[in-house]
Amino acid sequence: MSEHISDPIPQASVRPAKPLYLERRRLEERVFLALMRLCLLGAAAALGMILAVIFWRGVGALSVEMLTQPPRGNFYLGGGGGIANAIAGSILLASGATAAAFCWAAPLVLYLHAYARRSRFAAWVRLTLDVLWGIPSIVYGAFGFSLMILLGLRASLLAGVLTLSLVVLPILARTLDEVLRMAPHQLLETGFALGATRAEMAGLLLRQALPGLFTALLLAFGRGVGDAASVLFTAGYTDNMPGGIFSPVASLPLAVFFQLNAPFPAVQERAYASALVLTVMILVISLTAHLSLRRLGKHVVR
Amino acid sequence: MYSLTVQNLNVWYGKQQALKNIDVAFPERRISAIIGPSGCGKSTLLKSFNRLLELNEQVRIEGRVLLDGEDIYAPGVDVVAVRSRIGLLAQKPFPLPMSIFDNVAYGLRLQGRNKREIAEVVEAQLRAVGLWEEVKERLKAPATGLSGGQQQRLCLARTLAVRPEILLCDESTASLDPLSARGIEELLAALRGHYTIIMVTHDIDQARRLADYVVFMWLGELVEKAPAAEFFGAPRAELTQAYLARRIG
Repeated sequence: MSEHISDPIPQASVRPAKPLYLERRRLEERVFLALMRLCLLGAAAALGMILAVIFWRGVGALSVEMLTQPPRGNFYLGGGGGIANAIAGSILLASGATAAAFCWAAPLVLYLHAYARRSRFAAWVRLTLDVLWGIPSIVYGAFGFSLMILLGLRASLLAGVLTLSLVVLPILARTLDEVLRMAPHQLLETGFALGATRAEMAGLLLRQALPGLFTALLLAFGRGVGDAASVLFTAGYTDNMPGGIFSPVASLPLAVFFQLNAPFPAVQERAYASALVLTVMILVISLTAHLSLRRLGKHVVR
Repeated sequence: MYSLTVQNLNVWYGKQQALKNIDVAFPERRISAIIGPSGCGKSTLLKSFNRLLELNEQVRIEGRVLLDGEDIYAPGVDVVAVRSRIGLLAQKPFPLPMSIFDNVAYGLRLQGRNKREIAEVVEAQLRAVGLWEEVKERLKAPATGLSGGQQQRLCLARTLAVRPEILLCDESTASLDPLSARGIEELLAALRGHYTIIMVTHDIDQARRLADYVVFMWLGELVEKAPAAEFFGAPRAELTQAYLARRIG
């Protein structure tokens, strides 16, 4: 018994030396694993640093007054007040735009899946949406501005919502499209075999896509809340709380921009605080989107 | 009496011909089995009976499929009406993304039946497939929580709830464990005499156990069709003999 354990030399000599190519492949794996980890770390570090910087520089200026009061007269000179106007404005703009875009995107995408299917027309619609996705939001802003003038609108919540809904539409439509694309083919077969019309099929598809739909809505909202360029000309900016769909509203990204441009360190600090509010909002939305996927998916067939 | 008659049916997927000159009539209220190796076109044939084939954009269909003497491919025919007369039990059980009750009620709601009637039919059908006792306490629970065998029985109840005249089964036991498969087989056997059942199977023994009429397909062509006793007792075509002896396929 004990001789066996105490004498490893014969065993080692029986086993051939590790082939060279195996060594090389192991090394290769280790190098690439390290590279992948480095990239992962880089991405995480970027997020961490952004959060750290805005937290570090903004948390000092954060206060209840900041979150609940609109700016007072000398706010941009370091006076009292807060960014409640921008918080409320941004929420209104983003939710309005998301709702408007949804009313547009949902029928469009359901049509693609229940009727157009894999036709050439559907391919064109998808290409169009992808192109729209890629257009910078300042272009939407300029387009919205000229549309506004054509309609005789002033810079207002309505104009902002309409323009922002154009920015959000391709995101919502394509996300929803991808969600529905994952719906099993058998869903269509089952529905049709039971005597569903194509319109009733669309209802069934919507049901299957419910969790994905919620995620798409939150993603769109997150994008809408953070967009500055499209609302710059169209929603305008005001130090007042939102006062109706025909009057201008403030938004958080622009609040950050204006405060950061002020020459006073105290105001710049508030810019970081505003950025912190914006980022936390988006983080919360993203996390909710993630967590809700599982909750809402109880009926979904996988 | 024949409830479904196929006349000179040809089907192409793009340029590839999947069915060649199929002529066959399925006897009413009997179980007919379409057998043959994988890729012989038996599922294609089955799906041409309720026009599900058209979901594939590439497909081209020529020929006639007569349901009670009327061509379901004739112009002006209401596809939805055709499909509600012909039920389908798929290969893999597929519950709809809703509760157990709503699954069976789905087709009935499409037909605009009233609430009381729906509740009655749902219970009757769940009893008929032997699922009622197992699920009556959790009718509101998601159907995806059921086992595979239970799901397939639910799908059968859902299909039968809309009172089709013909029941198509596309290898409906192939994805189930042996015990559940036996359960479905017994249910189908019990439906003989009430429905015209057309089943696709690659399981020769299953066809032997269940079928009254057998159709044998090979590479898109119909090789032999005959009443089961004749088909298994004295197959005429050499291909059929070879297939039944499991020398080919």
